[in-house]
Amino acid sequence: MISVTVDGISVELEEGSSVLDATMAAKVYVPTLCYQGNLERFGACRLCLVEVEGFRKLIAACTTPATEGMVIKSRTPEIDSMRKTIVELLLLHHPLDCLVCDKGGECDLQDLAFNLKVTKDRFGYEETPLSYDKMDSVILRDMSKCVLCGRCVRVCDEIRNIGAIGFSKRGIFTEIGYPYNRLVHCEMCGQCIASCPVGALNSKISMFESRPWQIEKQETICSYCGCGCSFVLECKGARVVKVSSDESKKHDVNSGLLCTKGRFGYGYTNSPDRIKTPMIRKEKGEELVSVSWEEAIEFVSEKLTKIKDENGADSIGGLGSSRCTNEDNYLFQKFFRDVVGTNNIDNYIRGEHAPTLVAMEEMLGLPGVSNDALDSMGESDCIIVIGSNPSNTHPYVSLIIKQFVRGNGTKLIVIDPEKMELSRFSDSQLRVVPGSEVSLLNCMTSLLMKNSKGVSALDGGKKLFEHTSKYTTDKVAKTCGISAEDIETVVNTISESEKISIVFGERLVSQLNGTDNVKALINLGMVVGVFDDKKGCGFYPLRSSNNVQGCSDVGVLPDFFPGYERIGEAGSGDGLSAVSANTLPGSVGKNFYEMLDAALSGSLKAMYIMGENPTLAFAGAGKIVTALKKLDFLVVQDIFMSESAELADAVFPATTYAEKNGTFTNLERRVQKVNAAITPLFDSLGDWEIIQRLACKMGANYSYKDSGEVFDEITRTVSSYEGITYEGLADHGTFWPYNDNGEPAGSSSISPKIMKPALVEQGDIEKTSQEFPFLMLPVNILFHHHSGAMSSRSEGLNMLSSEAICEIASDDAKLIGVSDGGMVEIRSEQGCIKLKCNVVIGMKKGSVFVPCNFKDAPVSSLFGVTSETVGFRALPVKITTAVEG
Amino acid sequence: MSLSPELMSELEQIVSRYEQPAGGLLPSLHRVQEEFGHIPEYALESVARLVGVPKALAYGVLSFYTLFYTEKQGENIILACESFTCSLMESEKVIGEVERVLGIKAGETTADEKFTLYSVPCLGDCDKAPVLMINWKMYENVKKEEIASIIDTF
Amino acid sequence: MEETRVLLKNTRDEKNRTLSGYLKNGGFRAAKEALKTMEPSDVISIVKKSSLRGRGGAGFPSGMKWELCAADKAFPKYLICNADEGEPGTFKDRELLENDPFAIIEGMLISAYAIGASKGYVYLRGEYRTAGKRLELAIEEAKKKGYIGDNILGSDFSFDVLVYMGAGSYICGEETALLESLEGKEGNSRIKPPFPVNVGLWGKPTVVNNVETLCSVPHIVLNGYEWYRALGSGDECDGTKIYSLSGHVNKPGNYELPMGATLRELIYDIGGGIRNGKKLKAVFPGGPSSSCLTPDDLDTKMDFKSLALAGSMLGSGAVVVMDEDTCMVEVAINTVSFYADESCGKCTPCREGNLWIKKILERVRVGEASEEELSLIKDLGENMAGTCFCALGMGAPSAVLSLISKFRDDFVKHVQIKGCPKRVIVR
Repeated sequence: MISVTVDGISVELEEGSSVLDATMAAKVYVPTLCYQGNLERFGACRLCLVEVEGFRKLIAACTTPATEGMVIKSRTPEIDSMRKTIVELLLLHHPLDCLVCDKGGECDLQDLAFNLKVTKDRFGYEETPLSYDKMDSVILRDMSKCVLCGRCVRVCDEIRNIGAIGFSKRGIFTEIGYPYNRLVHCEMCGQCIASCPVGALNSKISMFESRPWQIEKQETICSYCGCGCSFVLECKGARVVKVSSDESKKHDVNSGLLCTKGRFGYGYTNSPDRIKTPMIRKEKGEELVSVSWEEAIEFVSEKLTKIKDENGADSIGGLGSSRCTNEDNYLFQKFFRDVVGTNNIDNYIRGEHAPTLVAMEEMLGLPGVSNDALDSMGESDCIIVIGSNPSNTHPYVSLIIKQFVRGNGTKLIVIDPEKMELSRFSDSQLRVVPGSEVSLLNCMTSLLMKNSKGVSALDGGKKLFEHTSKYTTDKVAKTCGISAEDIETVVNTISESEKISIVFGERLVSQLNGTDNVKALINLGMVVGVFDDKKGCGFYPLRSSNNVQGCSDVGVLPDFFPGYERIGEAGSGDGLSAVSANTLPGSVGKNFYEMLDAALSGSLKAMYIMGENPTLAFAGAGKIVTALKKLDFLVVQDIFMSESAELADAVFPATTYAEKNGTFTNLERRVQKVNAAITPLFDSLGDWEIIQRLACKMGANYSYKDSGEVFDEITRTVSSYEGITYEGLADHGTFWPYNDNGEPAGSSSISPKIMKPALVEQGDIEKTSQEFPFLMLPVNILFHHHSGAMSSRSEGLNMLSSEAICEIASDDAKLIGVSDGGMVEIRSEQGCIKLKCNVVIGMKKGSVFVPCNFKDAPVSSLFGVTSETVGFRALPVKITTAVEG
Repeated sequence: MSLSPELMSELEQIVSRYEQPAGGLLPSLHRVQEEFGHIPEYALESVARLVGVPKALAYGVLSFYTLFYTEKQGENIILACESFTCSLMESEKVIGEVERVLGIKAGETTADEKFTLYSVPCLGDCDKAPVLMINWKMYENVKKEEIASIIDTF
Repeated sequence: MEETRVLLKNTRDEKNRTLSGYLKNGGFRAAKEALKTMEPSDVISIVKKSSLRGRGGAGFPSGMKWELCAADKAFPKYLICNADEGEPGTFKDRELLENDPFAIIEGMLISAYAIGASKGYVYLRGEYRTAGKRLELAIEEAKKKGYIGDNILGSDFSFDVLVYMGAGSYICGEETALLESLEGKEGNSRIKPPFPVNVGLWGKPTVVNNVETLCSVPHIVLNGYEWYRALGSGDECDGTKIYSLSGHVNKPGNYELPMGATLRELIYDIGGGIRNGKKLKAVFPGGPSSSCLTPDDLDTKMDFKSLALAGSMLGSGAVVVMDEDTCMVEVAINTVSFYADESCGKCTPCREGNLWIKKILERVRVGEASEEELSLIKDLGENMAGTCFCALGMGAPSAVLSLISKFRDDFVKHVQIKGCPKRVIVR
């Protein structure tokens, strides 16, 4: 530690601190424009000049190291005069449109001019006309206001590792620009806007919406992917007008960094498409009509009670929501088990990571969770990303991987057919044929076991080695469509690494062989030690939605009570039982796909869907719609009139996350507090409140006053949440589980209970045929999430991407007879979609990348499903030209 | 558009001389400009990828240095020194005459794309001021009256 | 007063550009001496004792620079020859680069040996194509004959040199901006500390020395520091200095004189006096980064200390002479325009300040500015000198400020008669 004084105030500082750090520690204001805490020292604006005893000249505080005993003065007449001249210079050609500038009221330059009393123009002001960028984008640049602090450039390069913008030219012609006036590589994260101290970078969708003093801010958690980033909703009255974040919050998941969806995807909250009132369809065939809450609840209660009385509780099923809070989901499952009396409940995990749940439970005795926090990957020597493009689905994961690769020299291996952002950062990418992963993983496992000596420690290791050795490199290279040499390179990279993390996503699990894929991956993980209780060793399934983790944690599963207590095992469900009025149903319920079969066969009569649109989100739209239509009674509780809601007999308007208090659990197992920024819009109610009303109408006596009370009950029924308090979540949340002392137990607490290698064989691989000669690879695009329900109703994201566009190799395009931008029809055995195509030069022939995020091109409809299959997998299709419309 | 395999392999060789690939950025840009007279966008893209620098940052570097050109240049490039000593020796008359003879202003290219004229800082030949540099060759103690005949030689 | 051609001794000998010619002129004797008979620390020691100071402008003691670099444990180390000669009025390095390329190689070899550098770069300004070609030929020849490469002259010392062409940027002559440029970036000066001797090229210890500095080294090694010190004016202003004399003198050119010759000796004895029998009005002893001097200062010694005492500086030794007809407003505009064009644009005062000084001066030129605005220039200039990020910005206003303070009448007259009293053509 070193001690210095600032304006007579003594402060202690870490070695290596700057003079500016010293002034901040002393809480003495020193103006800055180019300084930003999370960026490298820069020293460009020269405003932070201070006087240091013994120095000949004024020094820039931000770039000067503080040394023991320094005596610093932050203000003298000389300093003020120097600073004032600099501000005058910056203002000399800065437009003075503060009246209408979006930054007015929170502009650093405005504040500086005010504080330094810049009242006169000594030099001869030259007005520079506003020069908004012509680019059609959500980021609106006006370089006439730029003060060249370079924070945008540096944040784009140093933090985001993108480098989409740079300083160009020099001297007075210096500007922030991009090559040849074309913006490339930009991910539209908007971090540059957040960094801009003046009005040069603006969010187009926030402009002219509000003045800073009209804003109320509320910190909460993002509602898109499973990363669980913190951000601040800025609201004017009942309207969310902006998303911002605090980059100084180091303990948040995201340290204040946001992706494009997080920053620009808030519009859906105030969408005119919101369901405004409860609606019921009195008789089949009639229209839905708006009714009061009382009437709607009464109606649903009567119908469900009748169906239960006539057909038994198991004739009713429910689908919870991976987007709703833990409280919503907890009460949903409690309602079904306690009031309805069935375990027929499921959630979106069925459409995605159910194989992970199964495989991890069987081989490791763990619920399907990450075994460590995301930032632990920083300690990894090597990160393997398989079956996922996190840059699009989980941008924050991609962001930190890039930081670790560039900053720590972490090796990166990508195993996925898609060429992606991470490809640029990877040491190697194996672009495997989709569905052939078991072969590759078995082969890698055997090679790695051959390379290492400690393998015998693994119980069943010998058998695993014998089994996987059948998968020889040459054979596997052929199966997977890659070179044997590349496999060996990758294996060598892994062998040379001590601490390894594995990140995997929907493309590995959403396959015919999904469960086997995960099992083969776990084998590999066991061999390379990803389950060791060491920082840098981790196994990270990337769940697509914000609360897939929590939704399963609280028991919205047909085979588990809350806390992954397997139904049928001794003691299972005791916690829930203790807080329930009725005896819990004892037998395993139906999963979502089994419910569909039951609906089609007539044994399932009613369904209650909360915050989910299975018609688009799950594979197999055709079957899902038929099944839902076949039901006697369907309740949908949602924020939008979705395709599923349109089929419903009763529709409940729910609130969005922006109107909710409660908790989400992210993919790290971090339970975080969600805070309402606005009051419920229209006649909507929070999801758990609706359930409570209905449950009470059906005879229960639920009387939770707020989500905190529901959470308290969760901590009593979900063993892994025991010890967590609602109040304790206020800042950056906490990781489950807790130990007996009421503290987070750390990653060791979820070390595998068992280590049981599984011997899995390569199953069938989807093969193209003469009729369906192309292999469709479903992809998620950066600008939309999931089926697009929320993202497509957000103006900002629609500006960035408003229609589905598939990618076809140029050679294939010629064959099909379609040119770039033309329409194609993609047909499978089950259905067809129409969308535009982008002809890509240099792409491998025979496949087509299709985005799954657009309801106008519902990929869901291309799939047939059984209870064995999940998600959007690679599929043989036929492609023909099509006419628009 | 892409760079020829021969040029690419030459660039790879250039880049390999440096401790880190980024060190090869300026030398590669010099080589590309030698080939095309300027640096087209696709060439910058290839070079940026080769040296592992984001395109926008590579562009920033390219545009920082005045001897790199992003647009097509005249066949002959005239650099006219306007710096300290040359200006004392009335370089403005020389530059004015070049402008008159070519019918362009400094910074412009003639319509026939034969000449591009730049007024530039000191060329390091001040004892022979005023000077012009045409296609890297120095013309010293230049007098206004000689300009037309110098230009005629091209 | 006569020239003392040590460094420039062979520059008029075309054969000196070939290895055989250079050897005939006594080339590589110093390198042999150093590599075969001296320890690196001996070389550093002799250079320290010679009191050789950097000839690029800053005048930092070279031996100390080497010692600091040699003491750093990090490896590899780099040696850079700064051949980005760009200070207007300076043309001494070009003469050495074009006509004595092997001397540069030899100087680098000895320096690299002393500091333990395994690789060297000659950072050559982009316009010096002729020098670049000659240097590359020389390096190639030196490599063939074992003066560069592995186990040089039978020692266990290995060293490689690459020529690196700049691409048109004055600021890259500043050593940290030069390093940025070598790393493939814009020429933005770096924050100091750390200094290049510890954290230089690619983060490794690096010495950056000017061409003239490096060319001095073989002579010091060969003839001893006592000989070298006896050449100069003493008091750490030793050896010879090449002065680039230009402007309104009868015999402009590069002249190598003992450091400490007076301005009068250079301009009148050597340079043949002012052209056309005119009177001297002013002289910049170190290019436009220095402050101007007047006829009253003619007896000032041109060494680091004396010029600093006279309120100016030696800089790179660009002595630019102006006769009585020179319009100082034009000179001021010319110098500030240069800095406005060459500013890297990163820090506010340099980027904006040069531009606004230029704008005000342009108003002065046509008499549209008021007299008070001259003090505004002073205010701005002082602000720049006090706040700019690097030496370019800090030094940029010094010429203008000195011109206004010493030739205020020139400026005031423009304002009063709304134009140039000398009727200099305004472009």
